[in-house]
Amino acid sequence: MARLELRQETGGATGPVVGFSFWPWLLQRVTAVGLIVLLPIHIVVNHLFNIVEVERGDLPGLVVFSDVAERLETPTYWVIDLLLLTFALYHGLNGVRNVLLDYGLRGTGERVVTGALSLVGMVAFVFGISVLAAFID
Amino acid sequence: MYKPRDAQFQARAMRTGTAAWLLQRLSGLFLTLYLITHIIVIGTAVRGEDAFDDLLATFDKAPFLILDAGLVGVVAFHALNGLRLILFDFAIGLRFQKLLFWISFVVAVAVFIGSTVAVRNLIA
Repeated sequence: MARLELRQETGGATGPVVGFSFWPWLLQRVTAVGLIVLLPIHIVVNHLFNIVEVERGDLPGLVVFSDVAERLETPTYWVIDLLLLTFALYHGLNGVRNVLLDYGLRGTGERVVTGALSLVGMVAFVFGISVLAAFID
Repeated sequence: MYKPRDAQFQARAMRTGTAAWLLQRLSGLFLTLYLITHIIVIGTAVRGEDAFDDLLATFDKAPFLILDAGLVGVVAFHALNGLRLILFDFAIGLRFQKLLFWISFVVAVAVFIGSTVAVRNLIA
C-alpha cells in the first residue's frame, strides 16, 4: 500500500507530517498482541517456577539448563520461543524505525536505516534460531 | 499564582498525553536494547550445562533481581499503554485517554512491587 502523508492532529494544532505505511503499522499491532500473550508465559515459566527450590537451596539458580533443555524438547515451548524471537525482534526494531520516521527521516536515510535495522534483525534471528535448533532432539 | 486554564497556554507544560507518548517511546527503546543484549547473553551462555547454570546463578542476587522486577514493570507499562494506543487506532476510549494512561502506570507499578515481593526471600 502506498505511503500516506497524514497531518497528525494534536488538540487543534497541526503537528508534523508523519509517514504512514499500512503493513508495518499492522505488523506492529499483531506482534504487540502476540507479545502480550507470550511474554507473561516466558517470564513466569523461566523466572518464577523455581523460586521455592532456590529458596530451599535445592537448585543453583532460578534458570537452570536442564529445565530449559527439557522445555525446548517439547514442540509447544520451542514454538513459543520461536514466536517470541520473531515478534520481539520485529516489534522492537520496527519501533526504532518508527521513532526515526517521527523525527522526519525520509528518502535515502530512511532506506539506509531500514536496511541496517533489517540486517540487525536477520542476524539476531538466525543466531536465535541456531541456538533454539541445538535443543531439537 | 495565575495559571491559565486554556490548553493553548499549557502547550509548554508536560501534559498527560505527552508524558504517555514519551514514556512509551523511552520504554520501547530501552526494551529493544535489552532484547538484543538478552539474545546475545543467553544465546552465548548455552555452550554447556555448568557454564550456563553458573552464569545465570550470578543474576539471582539483590541488585539484579530488583532490576529484573523493574524490567517486568517497564514491560507491563509498555504493554498496557500499547493496548491503550491500539484502542485509539479504532477510535475507542479517546475520551478516557488520561484515565487509561494512569491505569497502565499504576498497574505497572503494582507489577513491579509484586515481582519484588515474589523474589523477596532471594534478595534478603
